[in-house]
This record gives sequence, C-alpha cells and structure tokens, in this order.
Amino acid sequence: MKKILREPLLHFLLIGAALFVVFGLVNDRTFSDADTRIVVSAGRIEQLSIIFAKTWQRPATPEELRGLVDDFVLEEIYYRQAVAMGIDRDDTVIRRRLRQKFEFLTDDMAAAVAPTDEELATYLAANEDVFLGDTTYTFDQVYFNPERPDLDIRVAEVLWELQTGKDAVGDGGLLPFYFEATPAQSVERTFGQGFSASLDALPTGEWQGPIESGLGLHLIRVQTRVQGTLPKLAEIRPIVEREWANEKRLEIRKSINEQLLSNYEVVIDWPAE
Amino acid sequence: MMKYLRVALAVVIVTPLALAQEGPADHDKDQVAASFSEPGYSPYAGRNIPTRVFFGDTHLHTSISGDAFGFGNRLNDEDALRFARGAEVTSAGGIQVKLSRPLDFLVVADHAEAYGAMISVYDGDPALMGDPKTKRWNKMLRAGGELSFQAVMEMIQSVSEKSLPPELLDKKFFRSKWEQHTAIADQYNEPGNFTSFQGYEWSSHPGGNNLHRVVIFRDDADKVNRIIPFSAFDSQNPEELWKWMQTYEERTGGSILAIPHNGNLSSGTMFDVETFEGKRLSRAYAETRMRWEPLIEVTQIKGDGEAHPLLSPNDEFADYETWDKGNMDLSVLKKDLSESEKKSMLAGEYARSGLKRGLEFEQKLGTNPYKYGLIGSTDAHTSLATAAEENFFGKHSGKEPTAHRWDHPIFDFNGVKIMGWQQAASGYAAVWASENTREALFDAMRRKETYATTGSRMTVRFFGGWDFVAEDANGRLPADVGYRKGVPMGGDLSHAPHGKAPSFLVAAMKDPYNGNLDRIQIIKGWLDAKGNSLEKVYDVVWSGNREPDSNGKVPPVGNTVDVENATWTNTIGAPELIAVWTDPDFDPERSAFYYSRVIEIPTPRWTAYDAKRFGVQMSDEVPMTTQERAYTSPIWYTPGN
Repeated sequence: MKKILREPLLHFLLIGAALFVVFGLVNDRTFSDADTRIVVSAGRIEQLSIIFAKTWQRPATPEELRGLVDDFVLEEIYYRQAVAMGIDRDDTVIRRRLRQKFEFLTDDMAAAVAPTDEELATYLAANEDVFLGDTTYTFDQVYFNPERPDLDIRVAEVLWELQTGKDAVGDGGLLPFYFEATPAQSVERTFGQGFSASLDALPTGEWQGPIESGLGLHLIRVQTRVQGTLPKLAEIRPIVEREWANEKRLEIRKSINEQLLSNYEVVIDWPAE
Repeated sequence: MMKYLRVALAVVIVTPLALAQEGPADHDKDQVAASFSEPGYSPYAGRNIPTRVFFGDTHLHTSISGDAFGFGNRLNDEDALRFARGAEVTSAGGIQVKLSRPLDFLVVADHAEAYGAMISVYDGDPALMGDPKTKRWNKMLRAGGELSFQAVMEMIQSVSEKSLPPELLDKKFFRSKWEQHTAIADQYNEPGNFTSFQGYEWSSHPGGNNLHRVVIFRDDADKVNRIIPFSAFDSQNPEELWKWMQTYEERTGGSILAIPHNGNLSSGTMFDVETFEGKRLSRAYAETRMRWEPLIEVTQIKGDGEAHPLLSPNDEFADYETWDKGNMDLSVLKKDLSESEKKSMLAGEYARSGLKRGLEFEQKLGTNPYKYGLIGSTDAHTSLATAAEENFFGKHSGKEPTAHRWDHPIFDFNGVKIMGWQQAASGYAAVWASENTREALFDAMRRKETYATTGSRMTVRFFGGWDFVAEDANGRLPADVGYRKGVPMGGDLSHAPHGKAPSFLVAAMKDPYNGNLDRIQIIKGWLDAKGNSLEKVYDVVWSGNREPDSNGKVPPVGNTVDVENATWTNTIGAPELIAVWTDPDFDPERSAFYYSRVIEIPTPRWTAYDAKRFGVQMSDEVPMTTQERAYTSPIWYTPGN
C-alpha cells in the first residue's frame, strides 16, 4: 500500500481530482439542500474539545462543550452566508490566503512524489549542462605585480627564461605556482572572472603570456586540460534527486496554473497608452 | 621543545593528505626547500600546505526564524543553500539575485526560540490561536506592511520579557521543524565542493543585552536529530548552554562549538568582568568558555566590533561601521552614560578590548577566558548571504534594495531608531583548511586558523615564531616557511629564547574582484608591570612610497572613488603585500597577543551603489566610501614558568 501511495502517477491523478473538486466549487455556486443542512460530526466535536483542552489545560465541561458546538454551528452558517453573498471576494487577505492554501496543497503533493531510477537517469541525461563536471586545469603560473616599474621588461625576460627551460620567479608568493586538476569554478575564484576562458585559449605544454587577471599579470603553462564528464547516476543520485524534486515542484505549479487558466476566458482591460 | 611540538602539530593538522602521499611523516623540509633552487624541478613543491582559504557565512537566517519571517522573508533553508552555492534565486522582494561567485560553506543558523513557529502563527494553526497575543500577531502578519513590522517588534520584545505564549514553545512541534531542516542541511552538504553545516542560533538577550551565540555541529543529521536545540527559553545563561553542549558531545560522540556575536549590542556583558549570575570569573569558567567558544564573530551587518574609537583613540581606523547607540532593543542607550561609564561598558563589547581583558584575567586566574579567534558573518535574515557592497540585500527582507531603504529605520523601539543606511555590508568567515568538508572546516575553526573579512575575499597569511627573517618574505613559498618556522593565526608562542623577540610573517593578496590593498597592520596587546593591558597599532607594510609621519603613522593611501558613478580604479594600493615584522618592544616576562589587520583602498560603499542605481540623493551623514578589511585570529605569547 505504501508503495502505491508513493507512485507518481497516482499523485498526478490525485492532483487532478483535487482540481476537479475545486472547479466544482468555483463553477457552481447555487444553493442546494446540502447547503442549508449542518451536520456536526463526532470527529468535529472531538477536535473542538482537544483545542479547548490544549488552551486551558483541562477538559471542557458539558456546558462549555455545548457552547463551543453552538458557536461552531453559527460560524459555519456565517461562513456559508458570507461565501454565498460573495463578501470574501473583495478581501485581499482572504483571497491571498486561499491561493496560498491551494499552493500548499499542490506543493505537498509534489513533495510526496518519489522518482524512479529511470526517471532520474532520463533527467540527468537531459540536463547534462547542470551535472557536467567542471573542466579542470593543471597548470604552472608565475605572477607579476602590475605596480612594478620594469613590468614589461621583466615579464619578457622571465618568459624567455621559462621558455628556454630555466627556472625563474615572478613576484610575491601567496599565489601557488602550481595548480593541480583545479576546476574552472575554483580558478575563477582565485584569479577572477573570465580567467578559465583565458586558459582555454592557451596551447598546452608551453609557457605563454602574459595573461591578465584581477590580481595582475601571469605567465602560464597549461599542462593538461580535462573536459568535465557526466557522472553516473549512482555517483550523484542524491544531488540529481534534489534537483529533480525542485524542478518538479515548479513544473507542477506551472502546469496547474496553465490548467486553471485554460478553464477561464480572461479579459484584461488595459488602459490606453 | 614545546614550540617544536606545536609546529609539528600544526603541520600534521593541516597536511594529512600531502603527508600520506609523500610517505614518511618526518620528511626533511629543508631538503624540500633546498630543492626549490634546482632548475626545472621546483614547480611541483608547495602542495603540502593548504593553498586555499575557504570563505563562508556562519550566521544566516531563513524564514524558519520568527523575526525573519515576520519581516517578510519567504525563502526557506533550501533557497538559502542553493543561493550560497551560486544559484540565482528570486528574493522575497521579487528581485533576481546571485552571488558574484559561490561561497564554500554556509551555516543556516535560525533562532532556536519559537523555531519555525512564526510560519504557523501566520498560517493560523488552531493550536496556536488560543492565546490572544498570538491571534493578534496572526492578524497583523496577514495584514502585512507596517503592521507586520510592528508584530515582529512586539515578538522580539516578548522574547526579551519572557512573555511568549506557551503554544509557541511546544517541544514536539519544535522537533518536527528541526528534523525537517537537518534533512535539508545534509542534503546540500557535498564534501569537497560545498559544506553545509548543521547549526542554529541560541538567542539570549536578557534586558535587551545581546548574548547570542551561533551553535555549529561537526556532525550529520543522525547525531543532531538526537537532540533539539537548547534555546534561550531553556536558559539565558551561557554557562547552561555550555553544560548542554557538553551533554551533547557525551551523549552522541559528536562535536559542537559556539560563536558569540554582536558584543557591540551587549551593554558590556559579552566580555564581562563577572559571570551571568554576577559571580567573579573563575579558572573553571575560563576553561569551560574556551572549551566551547574558540571564536567570536567580530563583524556583521549590525556593526563592526573590532575596535571602538573611544577605547582606541590613536587608531585612525577604529571607527569602522560603529553601532553604538545602545543595546539590541535600544532599552539601554549609550548617550545616557558619562564618558567613563561608556568606556567601561565598551570594554566588555569590542573584540580588541576583550582580548586585552583576557590577558588581565589570565594573570589572575591562570587561564585566559577571552582567548578567541576571529571570523565575520552576515547575520542576514533574508536567506541571502550577501556581504559585497555592490550586491547587498540587507539585514532583513524589508531592507532589500529599494530607492528609500537607506532612509527607513532598520530598528525602531519606542521611537529610538537605527537607520537603514547604518547597515554594514559585512562580513564573511575565512578558514584555512586542508579540504572543504565539515570535519576539516570545523577542526580549523576549533584551532582558530581563521580570519574575519568585512565582505571582501582577500587572502591573508599570518605566522608567528622566533626566527623569521626579512628574506622569508621574498621567498617563493612564504606559507611553507611560515608553517616550518612558526605557528599560524590562532596559535601560541611561549618560552621566548634568550634575547629574542617574536617575529611575524604576514602576507595578503587582494580579492581579484575588489580593491587593491592599502596596508597591513599588526595590533599588539600586552600587560604592563602592574598587570594593566595596553595596545598599539603598527603599520607593517603598505603600498607605494609613503613615508611614516613623526608619530610613525603611514599617511592615507588616497581615494579614487567616483561616488556619483559608484566606481573606483586600482591605480593606488598594491595587489599583494608581504613582510616580516619583529616586535620592537618585547618583554619576555609579560603576556601579549598579536593580530593583523589588512586594509583595502577606498571603494564605493553599498549606499553609493544604491544612490547611483536608484538615482537618489542621500543626506550628508551617510558614508559613501568604505575601506574593506580583514582581521586575523591572534597569535598569543605566554611567558614560560
């Protein structure tokens, strides 16, 4: 039974059924016999006494309970009359509240839907760009402070030394001179926006530059550049499921909006320009 | 001997992976260093120390927090985590927002008091509607706008006055909301990529005096679900919180720490001279406090708490985003105090004076009760961990970008106001760790290898030892030398070798997205012969060819900010600064602490971006430029026996 309850198809059916009920209420607002008959069920009475007990820390006396039930009956009558007269219609608070309750209802249903492996695999394949690993770079870099007076000369000197196989140093030392298998995102964080694109443009295996970053100038030797691969579902299942659920929630909301809209003819009286 | 043990320990802590790769744990660093000079061989070295610092926010509120919800925040913990990892989200005010680059970690730290309850008040949950107060709040919240704001102010006051309706304190309700959140926090924790800590905020502010602590766990939901957070309703006394933390560790085998914040709103009770119950501080108190509270949050939206101009009159950088109108609910106002009363109150509020007070107590008690490291965080109530001036979404959802947010009060208690423009777009926590996991970051926090920034992400190194020489700053691998010859920020020095003074290797690199660096300073606090604490700020290294004046102070770096267009140029300042500094006035018989402060060149403050983007003219009292900064955890010197 539990398994059936977690079946996605069933949930979509339930959402459909809920909508049907709501449409019924919206579209058919005439009074019937059922509307003038009030039944206070045993369950309702129990709920009223529980709320009373929670508030007052003791059970209600029979008179108090009768009072609660009488009040409930009146509340129900007022509610029905108010709705019938349409006095809920111009009240922004009531309208927003009803919309929100409706959205909670559908969100809850969406949250209860558990995806199958097939669904997730399809989702993963369809959203490669989201789950594709970052390109990683292994590279050497030599940094130059752009403030130094002999900048151009020094950069050219060092580049020549490096290109002829000598060891040479630039400025400072906080920036590592060797980056191993560093993802693009981390490269951008260290050097600033657009730096991984600069690395993409470089041939591998040789010293190049200078390349400008948010920090200054760099001579770079890209050793390897590895395009990110798409992980297998088993490796990142929780992440895929999380993203899937998030998208599903938005999707269901959108499709409900569309279904609802399709039942209405909307006339908007835009003011003339 | 002691020193070498500590150095060895530091290396072991920060380099477990590298050591494992290299085999013998006692590899000869000198040999490695010597090999750097051999051509063609060197570039592969330097991997055995942490080369990256991790930036995050340890203090972010979502709609789970009653006040955040009341201020209009409808973004939940999941939205907050997605945003911190770099996703674009729609703010509560309907604006698309994204970080310039992702954060590395986040602690969603919602108030434990009435956790998740405000949403239920808003929903009109029948279980909560029996109380006339809750019912009234329900109506006010639903009405929205000014009434909603009023409801929140009343709620904060009810928490202070312990007059919150009992329905809001139901434990079963609390547990369900807590477990709902811990599942989300686990779901977004991706070891190696992004760390999402389990945590919450203990929000004690007796009499409106802020004693809040963010509580952070090293553990997963399976452990933290065995408790529900200890709240200020359980006790407002931090010592009771520490007892509960002890019980948590004993019961679950987990690890936990707490980070106090906003001493500046505590009426002097954050780094107090007595306990919460008015007793004298004892050695046991000091040890317990330091067991659980290795760090403090020194800078955030509700003001910067490093130093106060009245306490540090010779420090021209001390008056930074100062909030000193009063305590948290403005029930104690500083303008009502005499100058000496104000001074003694401030001494218990600001980080620097707290550190100094710590040395004084250490002399009396044998243990320092205020030996804390430093981090910054936002305390944003918007689910958005924004601290950049050009992308600042404010303290709460009512303070998201609008043309007039600067001109509307952010706090208003009985007519006493703090205005929107006074918010500081600050700050972040920077943590040096071996990898981005809950365990590695938590352990780094516990050993205080951290620094605070006011929102910029500059890289800062700070090492103390006895043998640093000027050449260490010119070398190719300053950090490697730093770990080899000294201790990193948060560490301890002791047993000064005969005739030696402590030397410090300090280095900073600018945030590639932000302004250049103006200078690095070292702030020293120490005890005189009578046991009174003193402080001094040293300019250690600065950009350009500026000469110190007759007082030894380096003149201002200049200002390139074009306020009208909210831009600046990096034509002044330096991208990187590094130096070795030796204490010129060292007395080996006296305790001392040293921390560094890195200061950027002036850049536009968030108010300048607002003025430009909304085309508004702000009044003259509103600052339009700022000098972002970083504060490192101190290194302490304690004389040997």
